Amino acid sequence: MKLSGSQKRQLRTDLWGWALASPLLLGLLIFTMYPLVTSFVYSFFDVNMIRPMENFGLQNYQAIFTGDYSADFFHSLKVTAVYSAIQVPLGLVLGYALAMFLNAACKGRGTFLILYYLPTLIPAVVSGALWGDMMNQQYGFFNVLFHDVMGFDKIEFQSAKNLMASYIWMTTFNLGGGSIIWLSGLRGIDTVYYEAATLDGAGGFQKFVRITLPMSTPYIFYNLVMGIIGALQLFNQPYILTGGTGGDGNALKTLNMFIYETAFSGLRMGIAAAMAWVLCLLVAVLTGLTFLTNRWVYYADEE
Amino acid sequence: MLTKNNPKKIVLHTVWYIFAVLLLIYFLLPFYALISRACMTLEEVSSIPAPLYPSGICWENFVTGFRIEGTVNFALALWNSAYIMFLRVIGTVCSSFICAFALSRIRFRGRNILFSAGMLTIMLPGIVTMIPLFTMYSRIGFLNTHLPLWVPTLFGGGMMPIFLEMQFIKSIPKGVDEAAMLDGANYLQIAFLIILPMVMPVLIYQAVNAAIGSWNDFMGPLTYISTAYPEKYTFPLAFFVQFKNASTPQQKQPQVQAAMSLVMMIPTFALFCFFHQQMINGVSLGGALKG
Repeated sequence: MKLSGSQKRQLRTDLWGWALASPLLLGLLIFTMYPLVTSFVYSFFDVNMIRPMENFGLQNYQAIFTGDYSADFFHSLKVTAVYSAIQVPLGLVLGYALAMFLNAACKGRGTFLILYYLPTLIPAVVSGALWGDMMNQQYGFFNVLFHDVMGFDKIEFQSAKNLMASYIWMTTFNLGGGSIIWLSGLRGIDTVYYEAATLDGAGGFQKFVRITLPMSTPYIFYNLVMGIIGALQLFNQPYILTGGTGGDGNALKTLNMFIYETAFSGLRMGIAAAMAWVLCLLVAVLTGLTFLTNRWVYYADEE
Repeated sequence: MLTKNNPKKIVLHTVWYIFAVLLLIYFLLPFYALISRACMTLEEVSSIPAPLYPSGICWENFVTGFRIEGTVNFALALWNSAYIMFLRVIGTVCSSFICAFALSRIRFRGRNILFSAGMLTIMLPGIVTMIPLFTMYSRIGFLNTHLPLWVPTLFGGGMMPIFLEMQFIKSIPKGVDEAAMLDGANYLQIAFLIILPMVMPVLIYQAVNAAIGSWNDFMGPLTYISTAYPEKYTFPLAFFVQFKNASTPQQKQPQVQAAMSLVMMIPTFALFCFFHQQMINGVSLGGALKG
């Protein structure tokens, strides 16, 4: 077979391209595709480290939805759902408010932004341990401040009833991280819109509702999607905060923690793989729904 | 029109600053709690009521941390974390750059499929692939070594860095490559001699990001290094194992935990001091690209 000059050139380009992109190709095959397929296969077998896969069937899915694992599975699912349903909107609203605040025309706002960003640099391992320390019943910072100094009743931050609320409160220290993304969005809004609105006699509130809010919807959308993906996979901080146990009454045992425990402490890898696929599906469905209902997002450059 | 010394404006500014400082105090509370705890002695921590601030600086906490008797050796863990971080930074930056270059500059067939497949992995929960990876590492003898922590970064270094670098490379005019092509340069030369110097800022951002991500990685070491191999612990894992199961201050030694927390945070904050502009720009860029 004879190749024309342009075909030869294209073949050379293909070779170069695949050669240079081969790390990514191999990485996707070895560290994503192979494990993905394998874990799907695992979810239909009894798997542990000692014996090979045996007993093909739906028993793992049955175990998590109606069998031995269902109580703990639905509990963790509820923990994850409650956390996501509260933390994601709360983080969006407070983060946005903080960015609006920092967007004011006052000197020194850049310095404040950097300082507000600092808590997000605390590694999850440290913040998990630190928040456990701050919420400690006996010597924790908050109880010393509220009880010993101010004279209020002691608060059981880590009891089964309060742990989730305490943890969500702790996440507000990280608001500065999201604000950077919000701020770059707010600063990207053309001042022409505001000038025109002022000429038409619009007030501050109207400008916010009619200009600022619609123009920042792409950022709201981005933070919403990333927030959902992150919240559903919560692991590090609650794991460290509770010493790997999930806390009093498993109040902070997220789905990811329960899957991890089932796989690596219980060594029931088939059941863990089945749960991981349920989590995966959940993430896919929720982000898919967010994308499908994104008609409220306004893209200026699409018109 | 508002003039410079308009009383309304002065009041508004004052209110803004008061609010900004109150918020600042709130956001710095964790740092106060951490640093004051690290300065306390065990007597102070275990006294009832515990004090809100230390009476002096107890440097001994830092020494005690490194001299803990038992299985955990923080000095060794520090070294392990440092060299893994070094390998991961090199791996991530080099492999993500070369892949980003190929995807954005070489018009090879199938590049769109490869790119889309990569982007899909961003939303994939890590736990799905972690279970088979564990059995795979177990078969090839990677378990209880540091290999699972850095070898994967040689393969593209993750899709987010590649995506960000591609955006940068695309902003460089294509004429630059074509001129070099005519002069007889091949793709490798174009990548390293022409494109690389131009995308240095984003590579520095990726390197800093990779360094912090590696230094703070917890789930990887927790999964792949068992408690039977304490000499392989990274710093975060050593920290977790040492301080997890204890209830009384005497067992838990919260002041040593705080001191070791500060040690763990030194590299991150040092990097932030040097590169805070790049990091903040990088974070807002990550958001802007999606917009």
